[in-house]
Amino acid sequence: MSFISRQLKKYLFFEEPEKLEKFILKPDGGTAGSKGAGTGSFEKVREKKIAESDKPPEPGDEVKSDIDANITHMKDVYSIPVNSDIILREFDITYGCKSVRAFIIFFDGMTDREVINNYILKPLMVNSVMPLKDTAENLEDYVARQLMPHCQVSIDKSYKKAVEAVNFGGCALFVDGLAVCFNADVKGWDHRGVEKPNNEIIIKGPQEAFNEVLRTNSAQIRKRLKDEDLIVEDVIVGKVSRTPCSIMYIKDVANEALVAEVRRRLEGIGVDYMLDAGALEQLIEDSTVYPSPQMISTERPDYVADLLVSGRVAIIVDGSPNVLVVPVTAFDLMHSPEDNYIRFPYVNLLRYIRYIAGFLALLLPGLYVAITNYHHEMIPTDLLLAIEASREKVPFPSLVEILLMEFSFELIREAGLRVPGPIGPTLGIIGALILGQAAVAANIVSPILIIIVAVTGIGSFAIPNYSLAYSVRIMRFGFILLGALAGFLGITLGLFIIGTWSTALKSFGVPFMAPLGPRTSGRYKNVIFKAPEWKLEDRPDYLNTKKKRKQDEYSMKWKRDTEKKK
Amino acid sequence: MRMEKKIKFGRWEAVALTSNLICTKVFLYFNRLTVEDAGNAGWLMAIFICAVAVALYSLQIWQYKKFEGKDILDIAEIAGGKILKAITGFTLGGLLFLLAAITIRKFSEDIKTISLPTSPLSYVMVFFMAGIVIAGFLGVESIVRHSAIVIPIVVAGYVVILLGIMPKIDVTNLFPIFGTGLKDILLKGFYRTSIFAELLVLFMLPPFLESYEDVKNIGYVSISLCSFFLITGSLVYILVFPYPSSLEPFLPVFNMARLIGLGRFFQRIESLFVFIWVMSALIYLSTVFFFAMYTVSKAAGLKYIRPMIIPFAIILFSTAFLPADLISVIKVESGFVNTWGWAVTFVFTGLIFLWARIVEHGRRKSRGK
Repeated sequence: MSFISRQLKKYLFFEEPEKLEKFILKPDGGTAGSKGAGTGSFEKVREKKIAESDKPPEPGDEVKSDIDANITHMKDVYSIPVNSDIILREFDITYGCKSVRAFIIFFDGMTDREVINNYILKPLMVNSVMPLKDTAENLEDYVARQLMPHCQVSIDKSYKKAVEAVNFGGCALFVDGLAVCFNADVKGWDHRGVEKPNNEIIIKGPQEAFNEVLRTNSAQIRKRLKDEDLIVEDVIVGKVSRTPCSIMYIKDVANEALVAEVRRRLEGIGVDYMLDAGALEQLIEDSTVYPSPQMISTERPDYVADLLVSGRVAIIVDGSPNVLVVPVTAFDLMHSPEDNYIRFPYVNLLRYIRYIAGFLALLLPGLYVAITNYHHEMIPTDLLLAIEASREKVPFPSLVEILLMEFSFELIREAGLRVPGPIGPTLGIIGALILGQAAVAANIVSPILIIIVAVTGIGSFAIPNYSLAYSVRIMRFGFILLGALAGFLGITLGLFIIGTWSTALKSFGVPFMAPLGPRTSGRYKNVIFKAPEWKLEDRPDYLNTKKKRKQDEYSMKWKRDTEKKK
Repeated sequence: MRMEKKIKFGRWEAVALTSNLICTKVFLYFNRLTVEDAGNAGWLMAIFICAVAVALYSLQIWQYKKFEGKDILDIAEIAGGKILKAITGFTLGGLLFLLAAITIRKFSEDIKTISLPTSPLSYVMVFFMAGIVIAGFLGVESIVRHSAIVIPIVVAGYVVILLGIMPKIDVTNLFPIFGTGLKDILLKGFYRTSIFAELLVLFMLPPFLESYEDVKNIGYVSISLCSFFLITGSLVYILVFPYPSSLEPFLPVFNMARLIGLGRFFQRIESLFVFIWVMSALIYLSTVFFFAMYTVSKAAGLKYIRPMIIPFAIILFSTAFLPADLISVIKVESGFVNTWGWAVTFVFTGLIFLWARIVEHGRRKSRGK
């Protein structure tokens, strides 16, 4: 009854909505005054992180000085001996004249055995007996500063930190008599190397892609932007998976409110598992229902570096070769990474072709249905006769024809993804050819429709953004239906709805149709068409970055000097 | 807790919005209207209409100067308290609602004539209603931004029609220059200033704009743009269709587009212009519909607009069907809206501004004492 009464109440009475004001990116780094927004200032974040690291452990979570208690606790946590890939190795450390018990704990398969043997166990077991000058005042300092020649060792006082370190490929060392543990980063699982991009293939430009390792990916970006202000801020997402993510931004360029909003959204995800950037994208995007993506997902580090320079923020997810970049506008989704590497005339030709391809992919089938059903007068007489001759024997109306062929094309596309090895693409091409030819021969569809469907398919492949191409595929069916229902009236209604919806949407506080709707200052010259490289002086104004300019006014100083000499 | 989201528009967006509200009439009947009243001096009448509109607007904007940041309802409240605010709100809201109902009926009839002759009128109107309702739910910000992007495309399409029809013009169609006479041009032209009736939406925009200067500039730029399109539209129509045969076409611009032909291949492309007509109509209807609800809700002191969208849409749909046929719609429009719309937009609002100035002046004097 309570469910029925709630539903009735919902439809009969208007309830004042609990309104949380949407995030709007403001120029001064402040938010629009929404509750729940991040603190913003980089200095505040830094202080918060320092405070967190200095925070004492919670009661019950402190590491004990008694090694047996520590062994019992860790065995309990890791269900030893049921859990068979966890290794607990006990040994002794010589300290002065005494022999002190110790143990390390790590996951087999996740750690590098050579590093553990040579840089953890060997120094602790072997070097400790050597007559080293004992300069350390106590055992803790002695172990940390003299016996562990490893570059990444942290000293923690809580079991929680030890468990987090071990779970992510670390090795925790406990020593009898010390109420601390030493956590060393000894990750060494098997992973892919840096390979060529699979999906964003370009002719001219770097041929490196991200892989599944977080630090490798952040290093790929850092080696391109050798800037000490490039910040990599770690966030853990997922209560059980504890997936490490990194927020990357350039501190003196990116708007602090934007970074704070990204941080707020990532910290506000309440899921058990978060395994890939694709899942994360769905958890932090502004609108789930809107067909188009609201962030860029790319596998190219050069593209991410370029986007960071313009003032955007990147999110790297451990275990995912795709990096998310926010915020984006609709026009950014039609840019390709190659646009930065080819000359001004070619890039604009390609962009022009891309927009035409997008238009064809979205509207061509709908227009065909609308013209053949409602607007015959548009077709020149000769063409009309040719179309009618070819359609004469086809028993289906044009709507059924086109839905049949579009669906078949989607089936071939989807099936081709799952056929293994080299057969896949071949099967796709042959399947499409044979299916199309057979359908025409059987008078199920007309020849002109095969051309329409083929051009539509090729157009959707020309869209550089993978997710945007998907959204065009979905919206295309809507336009086919609208064209069948009301011709150009229906198609215009569809365009109006998509247009209004797009202008209502925001991507991390930035209007999705900026800088055309709303109009901004207009100095950014890489919206629809791209100005020459020497003319791209300003960052996008809708990002409200700290530094507006990214180039000198005369970036080709050599030319100016030459002209002066003349 | 409810938070007020402060919506702000830029100048260009407001200009695009206001211009579209007035220039949509070019796609419907304005060209024929001027020919009906003044013969082949319709273009002169268009010039006169625009000049009168500029003069009346200048008077209004001068009076508005003291009320920066306030819209017409706030000013009515200053003038006569909540009662006058309610009267003003319901009057202006009613006018906007009537305009929306007439326009949706006319556009539906037009599209039915052009493209969907066998479909019921209600079926055609449902498409417009769907657009209006969805835009209403998405909010005024999205409508305004969408118009800022789309209106230049609509304008470009319209210019293409005018340029495409250039081979068909005949300058002799302009003679006699004064058409049916100067009296018709001036007297009927004055009443036809009702073409600018939608300009009253400009005085609902101040809370969304930055300053008085913005309101002033937006008004002048919008009127200038609209004047250009109204005058050129009327002029080209008269140049192409000689009087009195120019009285016959039901849809002047559509008939002009039908004449465009480039060789054997590019002919009968008037259906392509259905895109710009329908887009212009949808933006017009969603804007007018939103501001009708906004005005009524503000007048009635209602907090939210969203719950009103569906009921208002149903009322609009029903109201649009009240006239029995297209001729009745045209009669209502010509007889009432096109003849007396100027009185609401310029006279009624002007009186409110004047009254509010007097009240405000009186208050300042008594405070000074």
